[in-house]
Amino acid sequence: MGTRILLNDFEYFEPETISDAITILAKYRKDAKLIAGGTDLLVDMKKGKIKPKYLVNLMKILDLRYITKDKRGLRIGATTTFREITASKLIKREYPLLFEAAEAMGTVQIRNMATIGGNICNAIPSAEIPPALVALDAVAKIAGRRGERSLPLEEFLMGIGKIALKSGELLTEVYARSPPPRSGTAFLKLSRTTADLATLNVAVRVTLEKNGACKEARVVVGGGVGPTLIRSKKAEALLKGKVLKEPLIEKAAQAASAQLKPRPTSIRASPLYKIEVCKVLVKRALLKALERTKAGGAR
Amino acid sequence: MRKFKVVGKSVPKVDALALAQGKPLFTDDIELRGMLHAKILWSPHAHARIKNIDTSKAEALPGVHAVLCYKNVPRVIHTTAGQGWPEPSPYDIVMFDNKVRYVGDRVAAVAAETEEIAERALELIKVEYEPLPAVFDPERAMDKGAPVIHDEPDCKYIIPVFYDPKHNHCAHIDLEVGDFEQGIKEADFVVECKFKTHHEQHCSLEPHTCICYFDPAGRLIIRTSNQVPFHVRRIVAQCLQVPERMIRVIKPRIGGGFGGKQEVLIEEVCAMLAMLTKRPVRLAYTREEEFVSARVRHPMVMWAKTGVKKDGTITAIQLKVLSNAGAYGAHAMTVMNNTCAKALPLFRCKNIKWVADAVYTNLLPGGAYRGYGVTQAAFPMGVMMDEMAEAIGMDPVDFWKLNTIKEGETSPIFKALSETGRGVEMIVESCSLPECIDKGAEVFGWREKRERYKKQSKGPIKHGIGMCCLVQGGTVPLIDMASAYAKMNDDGSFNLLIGATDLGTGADTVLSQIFAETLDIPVEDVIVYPSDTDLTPFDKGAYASGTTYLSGMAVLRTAEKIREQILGVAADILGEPKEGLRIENKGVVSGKSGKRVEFSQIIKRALYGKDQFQIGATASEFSRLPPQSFAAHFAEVAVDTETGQVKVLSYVAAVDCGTAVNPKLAEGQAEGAILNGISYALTEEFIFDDRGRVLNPSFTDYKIFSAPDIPKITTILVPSYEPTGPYGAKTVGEVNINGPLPAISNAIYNAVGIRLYETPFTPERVLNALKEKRKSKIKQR
Amino acid sequence: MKKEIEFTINGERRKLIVKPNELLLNVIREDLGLTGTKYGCGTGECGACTVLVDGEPVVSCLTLAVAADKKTITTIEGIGTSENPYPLQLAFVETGAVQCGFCTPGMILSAKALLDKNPNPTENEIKQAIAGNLCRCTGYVKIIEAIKLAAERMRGRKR
Ligand SMILES: Cc1cc2nc3c(=O)[nH]c(=O)nc-3n(C[C@H](O)[C@H](O)[C@H](O)COP(=O)(O)OP(=O)(O)OC[C@H]3O[C@@H](n4cnc5c(N)ncnc54)[C@H](O)[C@@H]3O)c2cc1C
Ligand code: FES
Ligand code: FES
Repeated sequence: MGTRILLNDFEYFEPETISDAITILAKYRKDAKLIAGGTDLLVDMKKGKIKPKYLVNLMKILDLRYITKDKRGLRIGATTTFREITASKLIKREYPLLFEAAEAMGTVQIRNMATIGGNICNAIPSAEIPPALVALDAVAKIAGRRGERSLPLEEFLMGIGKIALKSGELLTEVYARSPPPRSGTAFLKLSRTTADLATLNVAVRVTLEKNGACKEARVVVGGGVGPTLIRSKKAEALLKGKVLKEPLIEKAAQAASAQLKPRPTSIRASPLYKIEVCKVLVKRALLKALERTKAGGAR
Repeated sequence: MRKFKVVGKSVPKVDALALAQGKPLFTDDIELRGMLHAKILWSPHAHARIKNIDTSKAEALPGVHAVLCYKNVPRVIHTTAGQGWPEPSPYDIVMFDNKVRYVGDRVAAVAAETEEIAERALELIKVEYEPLPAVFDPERAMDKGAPVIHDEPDCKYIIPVFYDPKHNHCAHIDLEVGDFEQGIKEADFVVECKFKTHHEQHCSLEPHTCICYFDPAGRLIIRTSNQVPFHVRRIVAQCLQVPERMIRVIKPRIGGGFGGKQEVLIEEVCAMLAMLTKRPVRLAYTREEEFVSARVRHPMVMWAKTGVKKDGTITAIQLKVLSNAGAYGAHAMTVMNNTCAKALPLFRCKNIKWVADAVYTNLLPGGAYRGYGVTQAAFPMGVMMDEMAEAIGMDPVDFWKLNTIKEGETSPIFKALSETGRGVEMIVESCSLPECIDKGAEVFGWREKRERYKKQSKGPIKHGIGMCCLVQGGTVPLIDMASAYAKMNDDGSFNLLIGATDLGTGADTVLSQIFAETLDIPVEDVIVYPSDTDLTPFDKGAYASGTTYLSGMAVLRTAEKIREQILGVAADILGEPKEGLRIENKGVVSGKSGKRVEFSQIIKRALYGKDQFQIGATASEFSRLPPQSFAAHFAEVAVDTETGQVKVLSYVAAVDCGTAVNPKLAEGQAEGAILNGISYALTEEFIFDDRGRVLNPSFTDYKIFSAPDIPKITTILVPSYEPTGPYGAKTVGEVNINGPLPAISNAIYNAVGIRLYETPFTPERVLNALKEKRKSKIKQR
Repeated sequence: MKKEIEFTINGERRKLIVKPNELLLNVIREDLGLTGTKYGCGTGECGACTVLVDGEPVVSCLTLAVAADKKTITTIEGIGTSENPYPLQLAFVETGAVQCGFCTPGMILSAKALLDKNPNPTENEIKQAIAGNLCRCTGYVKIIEAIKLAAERMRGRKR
């Protein structure tokens, strides 16, 4: 298979509105594929993994590209690029977790092209942005012929390449809950080189009570640790209500790591290694997040 | 040391600006009218017989002009190794065979109007395979009952050397100088370890690319990104069974080679397609093809045993080598030989034993790769040195200094073995290694860091340092030859035509500098034209670190001949004897009368005035001995004991390449080699499945370093003067790629007390070793 | 079905008719004859095919030509002139940052995009800016040096 050319012939559409996109999708159903930045899709098409007959480019739909906030959270349009996310002062200031995850993703060229929607919808287990979003209780907004619906991102991601979109639907927005006061977050990525996909990535959030005990925690692990990312509710439960000390954090990290189910054939590391190092990464991330709650403003 | 005007100066690379402007300089940057595009069908099996191929559907596809396979291509057994004739590699490959020997072996080829059509045609070729059992583990390849990979009756060497393909035994040599067993008896400490090194791809940014076409006279032009144009001409002529005079090979700018393009990998197929279709044909690899069907660094299993006395004397060295040649034996014996010939002369030791085998397996064929066997051997030897120093309680810096060869000394290995077999006796006439060690250690802060890291900080990150010394002999003595031709133009400028092949290394610039220095002219007055088999005289090509040294000498001799002609004409003009004249700044000056005549006057006289003739000359040089380049390398690492990640923080290389003709280019050679070595040591790795398929044939999954990954690299050039080289120059291309494996392994040991004998040093391997160490400690208690 | 597109490349407006599956890289190299843009991997990893689209570096091997409709594209041929090279080009030459030169066009374009926004980058910012451009020859040391040198000169010029 050649990566010099794109062998597969297709018809190309450039709708300017969401409803036009939906109409095209509804018409061609399984034969149609959406393209945003193309950084995943075109690689897969070059390798012959998928051969869509119709390609629907979302990048001309202005209504899909925005970063805005409301009282309870942050709205990011599906075709917002990673560069736009890292360049957003709002995100850097109020959602450092998203900033860190977006910055850890790819290279300058890829961040210029790649979209948040593509990162989510491609649904590869090593993707950078989904763990960070899940740690912020993000919700996926979906549009289809029967109108709109929403779904927690956790449920939206169903497995390798599998998402909860029905035919004729597309992801329009992700909505991230703004971290409550006394929250701290951290994103850590382990990879072989800077420009590598994650061997393992971890996004955590801890939110403290006034008295310093843990009010709420999110522990999310990605990086080919299962069919999709793993949110460790066990680890979260261990932390909830407790004062966070290192032995407890270690126990939570153990609990998270015990939930991993990495595929046996992985190029980046063996399952055993991932399980081992998950403990370390979750611990480090939690300690960092805790530190940040103490530092006050930085989340 | 002599003062130079142009040599020793960092003049900008002659082609740099055009390259920085993106000018169409590479093979693929031209388009010819009617050009067809070729594609190759690769074997999905590691070992299989082809029972039948049906190409009829592919041929019938509109736009397809030719399909090649074993059925319609003459069977000419040859080697793809781009080496001098007679090649020291087995003749064990044909253009298309009815058997495939690794996943990615060639099955058929198509030429079509577009790349798209060619790809579709490949899908229409029906191949009936009879899969055969395969062998991947080199330690199992010679077992009884192992599948015989080369069972064809016509495979052979054309030189008299050991070859036993019936047992997958591709090469064997052993030798002993002194008495190894005696040396072991004399030792106070004996160290013995098994080492393994892994596959590596060259990753030249430009994939293999070739365009073939016929000129109006009906001669075949091969425009190709290749390091050895003259060998390409010879081997393609052989494969196509046409006289060499029918072929002209042109090498444009090359986008990196590193040994990967010292191979006739695609040229003969492209040429055959052009011959059949009578159309220009382009064959360009994709990146995946680079990974699954080009060449790799030979992985090796090595057993080392050494003895050392308390006073630091090394009494015995034994190195046993098992090289995994893969499916074809190109470069197998010569790379194997270099694990001794070019690696072991570094050590002052009387008793050396070396036993080496290369075996066929059903994996990617090995080939030439920068370092060429020395990289592999430098790893065990560099680690053994560290272990011996530790055993006797000596600082590695002192131990290395004590035990490495010095100026005026010789090694019995020189005579015993060369890359191709026979060696030549030689004395090392230039060696600044002791100064390299001192300066490197000083700049690196060796002693201070060694103290500092005795106490490690509490956290999971531990620091350590390690060092090693390196040698790499340049050229293949008595075999390699280079030549140059130059002529003077109307305005006193010169055309310098060289067979030497600049693959991005800056050879064109360095050779222009040597030429300019000899005739005392600015580099701008040298118009260099390289590597065109019709126009430039023969050169063995760019390998074995030979270009500056050997092609440099050929250029120097050419310039000297021209100087004599110039002086002759000047003598005539000035009416003075030649002996009193000297060349100075584009003119000739008389020492006696002080009179001066300009080059432009001299050439006008030669061309138009009196006794007209072309001022011009050709000269050649063959290698009499392999000049030894040295280096001392120092690495500082941080090891994360919880994740196993190793980060190289700083790296210092002190390098003896004789006179650095162009210091900036020499530094660049060192830096590039070092970084390649570091990413090989840490992240680069082929992953095969149990059927021999490469699972990671892309930059996505085979990781080489990019800018944020690099440590602080410091290169120090420590000059020496090699009397046999041009203006004292030796070579610099390869030696520095050999350091990172041992230096980093030693630094990891210094940091966390684990020895890594198997490469690469992935986080997982480090973490496992740390666990083992903890376990064994618990047991000891 | 072919499609007509129009874009500005190196300051020139061009109309082209392309097939939807044509890659911007191949259109630039083959249809427009601008061969300074290179194929090195086809999967977005090496950066040899980097061009600037509306001033930002992207990989043209993963860009559909049809998606470049109405955009402004800059390739290596579009910065500096033969007689008056761009400061980055000169700095690359002087510092020895060009070895084989195959990565150089992409590298220079990535650096240009950085310096356009950030005239005084730190070493770390430089490294990150070229993280998507692989070079196998130089070890990046002299490339980083070149970008620093060019930045210094370009700042001087602006003052
Ligand atoms: C060199 C390189 C490095 C990379 N590094 C990283 C990395 O470090 N971390 C990481 O996570 N990823 C990485 N990626 C992967 C990729 O860039 C990201 O996943 C990116 O976010 C995909 O977005 P896109 O817009 O390019 O998606 P596209 O390729 O356009 O689409 C991807 C998939 O999502 C679907 N899709 C896109 N938008 C929508 C939508 N709105 N609704 C429904 N379906 C949609 C498409 O149909 C397609 O199936 C890398 C890729 C490359 C080439
Ligand atoms: S060719 Fe586009 S990134 Fe390598
Ligand atoms: S100079 Fe050769 S790849 Fe960068």
